[in-house]
Amino acid sequence: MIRCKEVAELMASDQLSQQRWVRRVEVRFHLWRCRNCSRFRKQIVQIGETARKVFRESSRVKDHGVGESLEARLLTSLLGETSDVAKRPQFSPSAMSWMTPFGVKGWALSFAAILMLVLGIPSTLWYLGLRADRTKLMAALNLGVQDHLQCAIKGHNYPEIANPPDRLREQLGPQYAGLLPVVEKKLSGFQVLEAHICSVPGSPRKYVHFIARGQGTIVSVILTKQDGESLPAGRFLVARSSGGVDLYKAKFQDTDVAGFETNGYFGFVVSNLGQDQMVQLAASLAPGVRNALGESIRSEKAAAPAVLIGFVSFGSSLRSQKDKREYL
Amino acid sequence: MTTSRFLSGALIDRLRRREPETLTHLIHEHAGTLFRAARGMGFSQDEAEDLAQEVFTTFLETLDRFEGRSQVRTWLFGILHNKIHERRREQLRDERSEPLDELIESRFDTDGHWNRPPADLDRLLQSKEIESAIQDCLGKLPAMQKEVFVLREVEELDMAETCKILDKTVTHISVLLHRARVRLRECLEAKGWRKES
Repeated sequence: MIRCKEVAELMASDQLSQQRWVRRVEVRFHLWRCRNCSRFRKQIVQIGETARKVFRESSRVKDHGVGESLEARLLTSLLGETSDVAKRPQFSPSAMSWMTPFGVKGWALSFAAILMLVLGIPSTLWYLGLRADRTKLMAALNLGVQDHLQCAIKGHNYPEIANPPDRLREQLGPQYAGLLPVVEKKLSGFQVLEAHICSVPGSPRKYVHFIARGQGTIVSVILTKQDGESLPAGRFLVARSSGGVDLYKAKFQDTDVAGFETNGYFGFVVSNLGQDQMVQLAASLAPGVRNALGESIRSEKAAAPAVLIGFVSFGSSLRSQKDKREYL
Repeated sequence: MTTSRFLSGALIDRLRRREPETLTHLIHEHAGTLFRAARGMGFSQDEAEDLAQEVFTTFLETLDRFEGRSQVRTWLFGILHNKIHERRREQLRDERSEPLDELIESRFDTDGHWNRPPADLDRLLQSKEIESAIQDCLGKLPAMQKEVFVLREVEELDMAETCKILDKTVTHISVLLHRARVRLRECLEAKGWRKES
């Protein structure tokens, strides 16, 4: 007859399935009639389930580094290492010293080395430059993709019925309110549901984010200030908008993105509608966005002293800054 | 494209070239799991993120040794296991030869029947305090027991994969899992909930 101690050991060590069928039947029968062993088994299962729940939930909710922002940081870090590799010197004549014992003449070695320098280095540099540019492009476009996934898709930070334009302008603040009519006009066939300023958890970067619905999906138009980053000039260019803005595209898993840079900002159009449609939308948006941003920058410069006076006299004029949305 | 289980030669080549799309996919599939496992094994958020990054870096550096037949997840968790031990700089004891815990023994009489039956833990398991209680109790487990528990229970890896990652036999893993579960249960019970049952 099997004893409680043996049953408890079999339960806690996951060894029951390894036992012969007679033993398994014996254990089941024991569990059916022994309240203590049955409770022990239930608790072992419950502790596992609870631990699973606790760690999965805490990873999702409390640990802000998890999810797409962690992935973005890892990607940037790993791609950054690629760029570092590209910066390292790749050729060292001393590395060829192993050839001497095979009787190769010194002049032949020198000639070969010079030939390699002449032919090899430019092509190596070209290849490494290409890779570095590709990395730069993907890292930049990834900014828009991460904000789209975090805020619009995962965070679902938009209403089912579109927010009224006044509210959207208020959420955007005076600096970016001028972009709203541009996005509304140029995203033909899409309804702008939401517009706000947001950030991806774990990063101080701010995004001006328009969320629109149409063609059975969600499209994000995102702007963020360039912080020393840039798109690779000319390389990987896929189109040029009517206003002369260069457009780039990429696909990250199921998410398509087109990007451009204008007036010190990156602009992204992100969705799952295919890269070509993203490029078309970006091409349509880019000139208007450039003009609206230019206007905003000009009026910001012109109004700088007035803002200072307003701040001193009427503290509430900066209230809209508090409307920035964080979806932590 | 999938990197979830096995890697083809073409995918390995792409990873070796560090193609951004392939890297993005690999990270998306495994970063969260590795991060959570590291957290479960008692590391802070920053440490867990560093560990996840080190795992991917090592994975890319050691791709030449990676056999496509192995599961990517097994390989990554194996690297995580080594990184954790490097960090802790501790030589893990062979817990099979550890004398049987008196606490466990005291639960049963000489005939192997319950001497001190398990208390009802339902209240604790349904309470708000369960999160901190579990984390506290898990933190008190010896390192290997903690790893086995996290891999088997939190990440739900099967016995064969757990054995491969930790490079231990089924018997050894079973012993470690038994001890981990019993100690966790004892710890939770000792938190005073027994009185409320």
